[in-house]
Amino acid sequence: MAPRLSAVDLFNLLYPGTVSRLERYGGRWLEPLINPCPEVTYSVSGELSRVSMALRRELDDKTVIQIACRAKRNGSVWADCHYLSFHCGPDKMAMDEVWFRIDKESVGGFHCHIRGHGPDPVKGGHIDIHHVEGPKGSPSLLSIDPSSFLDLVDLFLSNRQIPIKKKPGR
Amino acid sequence: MKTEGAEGKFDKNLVVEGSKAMDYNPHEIIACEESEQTITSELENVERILASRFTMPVSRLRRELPRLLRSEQVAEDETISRWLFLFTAAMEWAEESARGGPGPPEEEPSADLSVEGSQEAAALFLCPFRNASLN
Repeated sequence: MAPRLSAVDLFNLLYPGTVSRLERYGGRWLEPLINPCPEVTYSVSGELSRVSMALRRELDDKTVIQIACRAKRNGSVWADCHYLSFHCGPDKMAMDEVWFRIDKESVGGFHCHIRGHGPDPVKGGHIDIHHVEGPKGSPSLLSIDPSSFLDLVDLFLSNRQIPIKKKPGR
Repeated sequence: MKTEGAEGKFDKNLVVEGSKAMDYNPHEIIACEESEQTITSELENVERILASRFTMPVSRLRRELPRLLRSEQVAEDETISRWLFLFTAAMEWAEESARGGPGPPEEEPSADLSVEGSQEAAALFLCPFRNASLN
């Protein structure tokens, strides 16, 4: 019989430290707006083979973050994330208003939303990730994971400056 | 917690109610098993909601929405984000089924999940977005 795995169990399995780090911010859990209930698949041999999961937490009255991803196991390694969405925004009930968000999915590709861009600046536009840079010395946004996203959130909380920006001339 | 509504499970207002409830605890939310059928069924629900919002048939929605998103004419709100997730997942299932493996766990045989049905699903999901890529 398949084990009863919670959203927290799954995050602890794939991205250890993420949940405790989120809880250290204080605030409270909110129901994620994507994948409120995590979903899993098992291989024929009964091993966990794919996970879709999300966590959403209100950090303060101006900051809500949501981490959503879909990962597949390749041998002994969890990788091959076809879908991810790392959201930092001001609205606990919505996702279209952003401080910044980094998304990867099959329709829009790997892209970012950065407050101040696009026809409605609070929505953050739709910017190809190759046209966006993170803080100096930080890992490439192309390899972003929950831990490096939370590093960006830490920076944002420290100075309220959006930590990623569109590259000059793009 | 969240309740099923007339417009479908992922109606924005119902989701908002869930967030308002303040009783969500991810330590207690147990994962459920995903299948191609659950993904495509949820995708259809969300597409019906979006088609109604944009007053266009679902077939046109699938053609138009990617363009509207890329051109920044439509913002990615939670319903659209949900659609993007489900579409990506459906495409992954369809590709795996069309490839014939290694893919997801085998399902009980049924008309919808037959090899032929899955190939049709792959065609259905891949054709409108030939340029879309999972990589």
